[in-house]
Amino acid sequence: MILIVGGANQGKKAYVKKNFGEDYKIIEDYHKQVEREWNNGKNPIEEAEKLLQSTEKLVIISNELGYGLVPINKFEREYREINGRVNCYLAEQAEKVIRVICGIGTQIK
Amino acid sequence: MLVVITGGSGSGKSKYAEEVAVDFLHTNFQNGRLYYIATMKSFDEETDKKIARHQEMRKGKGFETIECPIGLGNLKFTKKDVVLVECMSNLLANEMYAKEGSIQSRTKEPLFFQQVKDAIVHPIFSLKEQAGCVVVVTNEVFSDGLDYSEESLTYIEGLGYINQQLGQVADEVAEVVCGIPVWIKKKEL
Repeated sequence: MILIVGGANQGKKAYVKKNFGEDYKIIEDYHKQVEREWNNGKNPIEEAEKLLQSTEKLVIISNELGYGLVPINKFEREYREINGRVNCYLAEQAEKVIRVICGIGTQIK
Repeated sequence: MLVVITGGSGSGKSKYAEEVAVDFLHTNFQNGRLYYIATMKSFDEETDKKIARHQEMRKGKGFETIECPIGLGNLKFTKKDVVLVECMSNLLANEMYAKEGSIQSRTKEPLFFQQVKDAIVHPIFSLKEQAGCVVVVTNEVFSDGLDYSEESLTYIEGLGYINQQLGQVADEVAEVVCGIPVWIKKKEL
């Protein structure tokens, strides 16, 4: 599995389109999936574990959150934290981690 | 030796900072001591949970915990000590908002920065001189818009000031991204 992270609107999807062929299964906006799971009382780390049991070659694109002050809203506060933890887990499992900033990808693992 | 570890929330910066401190101790000292300066105050169930999570994470790694929500300047160490300070964002909030905190200024005036310097920056510089290695955890709170109250903006500016001051004199600075250190400043070996 390859993990692509970065802030919003950094060109992550375009980067993936340009650099990964059709033999990859691309999962976009994984942070939104995490939000839905958290909202539905699921454990997003366990859900990520299940996802990684897939035999397909995965490229997972997820936003980096949590670069501001701790939100007053409890859900927002917990969501950005758990999204970070999920990204840490995915990065640990990934063969490659690429961070995209200004459309430019830097392989950090 | 001063190492600054920064990162967003949930980035894995604390776990990585612990690794750096433990590695430094084992590489450099046979009988040194490992200290964990804990700055988070217990307010409610949520902070208790966070504190418990951190306690669990550092269990068995050999840290001696010193509770220090304010008054970092009062601590004393020796050259064989490795000191992990966790973290700047709590320390600044405590010094600004706790009853006994020493940062009273609330506007972005020279007095505010002087108080931040006295309460936090200089004590870290002093720790750097005293201890064998100081690892400081701080926080990236600067890239999520600036739609905050004037008071919160002052806080952000204070933390940015701390990070810049520490970054300047640090031997190493890393941003932790998804648990992976991305080095911004690295000591030449």
